[in-house]
Amino acid sequence: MAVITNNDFLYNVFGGFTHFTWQSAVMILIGCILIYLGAAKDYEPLLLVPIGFGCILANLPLTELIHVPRDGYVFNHSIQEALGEAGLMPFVEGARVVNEGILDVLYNAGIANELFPCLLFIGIGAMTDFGPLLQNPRVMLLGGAGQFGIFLTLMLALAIGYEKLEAICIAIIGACDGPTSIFITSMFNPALLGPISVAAYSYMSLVPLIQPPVMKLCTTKKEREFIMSYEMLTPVTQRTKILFPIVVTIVTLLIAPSGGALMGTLMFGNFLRECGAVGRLVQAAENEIANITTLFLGLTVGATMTGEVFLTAKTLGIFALGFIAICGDTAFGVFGAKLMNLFSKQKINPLIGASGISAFPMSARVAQKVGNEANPQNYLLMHAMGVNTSGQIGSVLTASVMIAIIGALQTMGVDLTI
Amino acid sequence: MEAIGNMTFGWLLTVVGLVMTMTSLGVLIIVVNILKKFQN
Repeated sequence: MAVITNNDFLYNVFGGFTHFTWQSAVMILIGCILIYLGAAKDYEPLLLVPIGFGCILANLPLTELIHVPRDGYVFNHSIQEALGEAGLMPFVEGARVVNEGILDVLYNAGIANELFPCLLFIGIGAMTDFGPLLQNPRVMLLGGAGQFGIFLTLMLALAIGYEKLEAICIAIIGACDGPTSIFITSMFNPALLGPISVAAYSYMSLVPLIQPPVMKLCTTKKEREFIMSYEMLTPVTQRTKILFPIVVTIVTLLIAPSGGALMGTLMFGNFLRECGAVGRLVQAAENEIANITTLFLGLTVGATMTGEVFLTAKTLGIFALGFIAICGDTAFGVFGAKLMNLFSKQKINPLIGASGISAFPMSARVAQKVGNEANPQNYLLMHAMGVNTSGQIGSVLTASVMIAIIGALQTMGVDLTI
Repeated sequence: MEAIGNMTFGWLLTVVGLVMTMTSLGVLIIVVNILKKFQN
């Protein structure tokens, strides 16, 4: 009886209530909002629903499903038990020794080692048709122009005081590519995984709302009305489509070998699609592998969103800078297209430049819609699709180049943590 | 360990990153055009 009336006993038995904090309440509310946006409003539901549920799970006290921030814990494996018995644990000062929760297992299996984004890239490659891009390869430059917003955001983030590696993770939101953002953040600053992935996926789903005002601001009505000729789309054979992923892999990885995981998996998926000999593998990559990975990735990323990590001024800054990154990408893409027109005989509608981001095929549809509003005779979709797929290559390439530069600086002994 | 200023780092990453990205895309355009010439 004395045990039951003891305060410690009650405190632990009803731990869910006694350990509940205002941060838990706010984060559970955020989780519910994400689920609502995904399930009821159809904003990237495949990601926002698992992220929202993961967020709720992680913020219920004492569930021990995941332990974040990761550097505060050491996991209790058999080797560590032996070390502990020898008096060598924990070897991180101040860290707690804990048993792995199921979401810890998923985190270590697919996020900490960047496996999940790479598996998703195989699926994305298998779903992508680079045909429109190959029909007019010069628009690939617009896929590069669309990445300028990343660098603008990087400079802004550094100027307002974010640390170097944090600034890279924030800037990469401008790639408008969820797996790339998760890959880079897992690599350089896993503590920001929650806010950055939520910002990336939210803004991706808001592309149809964010891009049109920026596109209209950067163009005149006359420019938007311009009808592009379909003669510039020259036919490509299946052999060219098969060789393309091999060529891209070799060229880009010779230039930035450290991007092998990203570009290699994207192009591998596309090669499976185009070679035509492995239908079952293509189906698995597009469906089973992509779906299972999306499920685990979303749930685990959502579970990193604990109050301690998420409810900070940094998160607000990440959302603001992410927004600037996507607006910047759109504007630079449009101006890139205008610049191309200065040097080219075959003029293009500058609106298609805005599709040089990775949000596929949403961004191409936005270009078509805005162009069609300006001139009902305007049909930009196929042109914009080419630019949009080049945006996918451009964003992965930019991320690969960033990894290569950071790797080079670290090899030279430059301290990037201060 | 050497230190590097935030803005110096930013400019370095921006300039080298943009040059490498655009160069890679330029090389890809040339290679694709060559592939297309030989496709028939």
